[in-house]
Amino acid sequence: MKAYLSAIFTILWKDFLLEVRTKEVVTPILVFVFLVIITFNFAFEPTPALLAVVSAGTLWVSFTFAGVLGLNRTFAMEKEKGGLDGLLLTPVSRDALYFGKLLSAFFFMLAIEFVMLPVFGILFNLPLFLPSLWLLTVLTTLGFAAVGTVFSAMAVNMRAREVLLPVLFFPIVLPVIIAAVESTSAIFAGAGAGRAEDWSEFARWLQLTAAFDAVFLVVSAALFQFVVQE
Amino acid sequence: MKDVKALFALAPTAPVIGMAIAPQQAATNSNLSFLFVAYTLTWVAFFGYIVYMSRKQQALRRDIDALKKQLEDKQKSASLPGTGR
Amino acid sequence: MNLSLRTGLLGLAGVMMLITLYMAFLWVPNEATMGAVQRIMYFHVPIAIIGFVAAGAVFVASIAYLIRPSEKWDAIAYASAEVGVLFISLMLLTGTLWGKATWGIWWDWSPRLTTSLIMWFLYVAYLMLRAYAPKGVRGARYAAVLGIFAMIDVPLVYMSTTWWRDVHPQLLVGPAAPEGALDPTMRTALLFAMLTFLVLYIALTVERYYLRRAEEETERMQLSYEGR
Repeated sequence: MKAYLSAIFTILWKDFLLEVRTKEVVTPILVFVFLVIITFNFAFEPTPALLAVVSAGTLWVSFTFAGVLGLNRTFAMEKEKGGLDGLLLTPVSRDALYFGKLLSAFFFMLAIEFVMLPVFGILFNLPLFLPSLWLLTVLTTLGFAAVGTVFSAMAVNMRAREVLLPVLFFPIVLPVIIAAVESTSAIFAGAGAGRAEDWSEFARWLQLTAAFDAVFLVVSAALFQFVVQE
Repeated sequence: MKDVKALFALAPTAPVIGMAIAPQQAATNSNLSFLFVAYTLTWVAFFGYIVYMSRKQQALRRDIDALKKQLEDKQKSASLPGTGR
Repeated sequence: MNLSLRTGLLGLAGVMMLITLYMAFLWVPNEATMGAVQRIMYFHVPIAIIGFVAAGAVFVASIAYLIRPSEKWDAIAYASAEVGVLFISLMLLTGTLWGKATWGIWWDWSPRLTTSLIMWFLYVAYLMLRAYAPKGVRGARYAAVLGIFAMIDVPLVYMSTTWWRDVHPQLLVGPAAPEGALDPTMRTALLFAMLTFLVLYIALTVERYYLRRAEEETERMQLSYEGR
């Protein structure tokens, strides 16, 4: 068990070091997310009434785009440098490899989202820190990364992988995104009306997201070994 | 699980499929063009699919013939000393 | 399955289709509220159900392939997915036509319609994966993984959209009549139509299966020839 956990941690640490040295994922995607949010702002010509309707959607569309970009990049990098083959040669179980890659995708996305949430709050005139929204973001990102790791490991070996990854991956992950958008709307509506956070209102959305996470985690962990098998 | 069951239930959100009435009475209802288009589309799609498959089969047959011919040529040239490589 | 049996199956599907047409247009009475256009049901409902059957077959064949890899399971999954996309597309098309004729709108974002549309995307993605993934066992494994994911995803999409519609006001269209029992002749016609489309599905899938196997075989021969 200890060896298992340390293998997961080693993979995570490797990805972290790689990111610190190359800076190929977090920084460019941060700027990209910022740009997507700004673009939406122009597209909607925001009035306060309209903002209440579209802000949740805007937030999750930009996070979803960012997530796909990040997933594409991390596995492509492994592939280009032959890192994936190296990882597969090490005497590490496929599960440990899966959870290592899952956690690194999860933390990278979370880092980007936690920077962007306050920025989003400023741009859309919402409270900068909403605990419920942050909790929801963590849950959604977990489900997203769970499926995304499997699909980006597949897409890396395909032709036209940059386009194909979202085409394969969006319909699968859609239940999580729908749940995220709906609960975010509930949270924003509450915050916009100046009410204190009413957890019961979106508790069932959180439950639903957690349930999706559980399903996706189990299925993805079970299927990942077939994806990386030679 | 009730949700999932409902998904597989008969007749999509359909307005109720109800009791029958005498045919001459219903002749007043138009919208027949929709009926026509729906059935035509279905037929065309299935026929199209069958045509698509038979075309694929023909292409396959050509490939196999070409392959056979190549193989024969090779055998011929191998059996003639001096002409083969 | 030998060739004469396969041809016979297709022929049977053809004959049954004619009987279905007779039943749907001449034998069953008109429906009280929707009139003649309701006869779309005898195509739409069976096609929808067989679409789900096809998706289920992809799921089962995908699991079987991962447990015991063989080209047979792979080809069954492929054939069923392709025929399945045909059925799901027709379900959406006939459904929108029926919707326009009876509710006056082509499309509403009700859970069932949304789920059907996402299901279409899932199986189109499956076919795209088949086209763009590497050939051979690796591509087959990828496809099996997606085939399993897709089937698990369908009820999840339905759940999330149902909950979502609970929150929003729903568009009320169409006659809000109480649920009526299906007229016995209508029921018979519907069941027969279902059987017809099932036979058609099996016939098409079997054809596609053998075609797929032959394609793979030819490709292998070409490769081994060029490799010499």
